[in-house]
Amino acid sequence: MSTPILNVTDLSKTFGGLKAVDALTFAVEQGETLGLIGPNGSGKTTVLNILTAAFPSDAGRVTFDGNEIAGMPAYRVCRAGIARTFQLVRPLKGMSVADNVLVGRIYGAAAEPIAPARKKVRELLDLVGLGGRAEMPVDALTYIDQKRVELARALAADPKLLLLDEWLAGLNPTELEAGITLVRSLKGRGLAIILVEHVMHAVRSLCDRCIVLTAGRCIAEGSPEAVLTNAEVKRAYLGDDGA
Amino acid sequence: MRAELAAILEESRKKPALLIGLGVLLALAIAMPFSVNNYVLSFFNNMLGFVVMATSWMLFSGTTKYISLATAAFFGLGAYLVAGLGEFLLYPVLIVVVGLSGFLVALVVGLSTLRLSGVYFTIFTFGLTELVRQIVTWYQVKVLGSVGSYIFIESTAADIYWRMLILAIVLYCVGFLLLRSRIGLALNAIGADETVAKHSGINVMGVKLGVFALTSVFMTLTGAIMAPRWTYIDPPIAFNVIASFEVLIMALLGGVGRLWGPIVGVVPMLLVSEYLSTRFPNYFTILLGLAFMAIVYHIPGGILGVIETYWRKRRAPRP
Repeated sequence: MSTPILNVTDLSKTFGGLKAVDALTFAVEQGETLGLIGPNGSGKTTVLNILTAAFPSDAGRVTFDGNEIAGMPAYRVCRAGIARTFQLVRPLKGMSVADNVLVGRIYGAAAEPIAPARKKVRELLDLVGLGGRAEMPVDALTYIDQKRVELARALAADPKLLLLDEWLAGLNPTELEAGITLVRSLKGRGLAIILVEHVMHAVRSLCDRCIVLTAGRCIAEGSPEAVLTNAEVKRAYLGDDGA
Repeated sequence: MRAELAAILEESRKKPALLIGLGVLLALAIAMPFSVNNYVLSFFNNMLGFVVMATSWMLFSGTTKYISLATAAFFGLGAYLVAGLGEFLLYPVLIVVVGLSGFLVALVVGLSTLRLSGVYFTIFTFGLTELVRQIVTWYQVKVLGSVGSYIFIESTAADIYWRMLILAIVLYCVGFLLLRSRIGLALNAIGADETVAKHSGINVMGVKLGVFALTSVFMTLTGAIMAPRWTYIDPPIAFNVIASFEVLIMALLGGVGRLWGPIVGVVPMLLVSEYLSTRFPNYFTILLGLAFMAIVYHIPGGILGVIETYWRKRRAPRP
């Protein structure tokens, strides 16, 4: 077995009196897609925010690609090779679609000069299906297209680990299938992905492995099928009556 | 960088008309002092001062949306350094010292304030001008035993004009390269969403600090070059908070986000405020405030923004 690209050990974070993440330990292998699932408020987004240094953890170690990343500023984490999308889509308003992606390209791990970066941006926009709209202001795009821009911006950085925070949420059934196909096409590139998702259909078809969080603790781990039929997981989602 | 310069040269070769136009404009600008009287020249000096300050302001505040009201603090700093050091240093040395001082002060101010967000940053920069003014006043009264300073540099209006012209040209070159560079992209990204900028790999603090300090150098130098217009300065003249607001309004009126925006705002604003301050001196600041609100609510893109929208509509008429 290869060494994991990401190692998280005993990670904890408390907000006021609330334990958002509680002694969480997990790893992500190179090229693996890990599903991070659990009810609302179970700490999934908090984990992503700690991994990308949006805020520090209270305790625990995070090693990425062999380096300790706790204490790094967010921009260094991105340059080290972790890129993310946001739960609520956050395009860089007032800028063109191409410039949105260009930012990721020249400042991310790729760190390419502007001229070659522009070419790469075209390719990425084609990949996410926005080829013809490079020069449009990003504000003019629909919600789903802004999500595509965000994905392209994250991919532009040439990350080794991609964090998708409910990237498939809010899509209609057709868009969802297109989205799943798009994410699946990324898996072929050797990219490790952490997928925070509520859409179980997407989790089943994309994830190699899942961990389930409740109140910041991991209550189950395994293949999507095994985890989703686990009695404790059902109880966490649906309460005692549902199990 | 070299590749970018080559690209710019290549581009300018394709637009000979623009290049010739700029050349003619430059020749006219250089020859100007020979053909006008002192009153007109003094108006142009004033204009160049505001063009440099409003453009510098736009390069940082217009892009990042960190609205600074510290313009007058840096202007005053430059003016006072000239008053204090003018008789001891050769002029080129003086200019270097003033520029460096502006840079260092901006670094210190930036390090302590650029972590503040939005309105807190604005309030701090507003307070900064007052703070510096009080410190200078205290120093003059308690240590030097006077309320103002004489400026011992003799400069004609034409000298000031040429110096300001050079400063303006340097600023435009710096601004042009800056906005086209990766830094320009970072500035706009920070203005759009600082969190996203951070998570996209931009050293947000470094970019903000560097550009804030760089643009403050131009504001400080403006104060230094303009100072000899007055043979005597005191803190209320040098650290005039209203000037910070005027610079901000000029930039907004012309249109931020574009290098040529501020210059479009400076001329009408100067003419109007010249008229208003002589006609209604007591209501000037109220009218300034009203003008500010009118611009923000009705033409947030400034004059250039209005023109661009108009052109876009004409070029692509809706069916």
